[in-house]
Amino acid sequence: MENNRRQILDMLAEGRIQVEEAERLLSLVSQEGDSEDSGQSTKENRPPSKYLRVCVEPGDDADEDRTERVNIRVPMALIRAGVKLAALIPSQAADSVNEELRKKGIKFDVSSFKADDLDPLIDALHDLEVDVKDGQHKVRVFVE
Amino acid sequence: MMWPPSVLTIKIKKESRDFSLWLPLFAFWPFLLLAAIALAPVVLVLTIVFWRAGWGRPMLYSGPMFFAMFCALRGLEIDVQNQGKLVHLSFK
Repeated sequence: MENNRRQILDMLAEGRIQVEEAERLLSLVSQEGDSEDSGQSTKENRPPSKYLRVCVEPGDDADEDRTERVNIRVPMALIRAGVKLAALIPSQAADSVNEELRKKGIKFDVSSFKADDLDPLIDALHDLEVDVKDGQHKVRVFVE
Repeated sequence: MMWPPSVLTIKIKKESRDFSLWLPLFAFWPFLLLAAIALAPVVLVLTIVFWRAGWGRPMLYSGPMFFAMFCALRGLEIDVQNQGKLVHLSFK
């Protein structure tokens, strides 16, 4: 935001824009900065995600005898620990794992994924909610 | 610090049979600690022996990593119900 304000003031000094236009641009930049700050403070105030939940329930059109219900709650700490454990895979073993994944059509390098990469992903998942309804089942995946 | 789970609860229900298990995992903590202390010198020797082969670091960190995974099991719940059958597993 400071860069944007600096650029606007430089353009005003060079005479490329008028005072009214500079004023309008500065007010727009300050509005963007306020919304970013409130978003940042919302993210900072938000409690950290603790669990990944997967819920499967019978849908509205489900038969009466179909009463499958699945409720799974996985602690995020378990996912983090699993990723950290994967980081211990020696390079020789990682190469053979990568080769097997490539044979299945998955181009993924096991050794490239670090536990530090997981935290921004988990933060982004906080607002994720997958809701699938196909008549027979309702599937919900969310983070709490 | 994360503590390991204290209790494991397993419930399995079928039409006419019920099976419930309440396992106090905290009773096993002293045995786990003793096993860790007993195995520590062995792991250290194996780490030194296999260090050049590239397996030393995994061997050294695997113990703490598995312990961290065991601690992270606290809060895991799996609940599956289907036509009068129920399987419930939870770590608390």
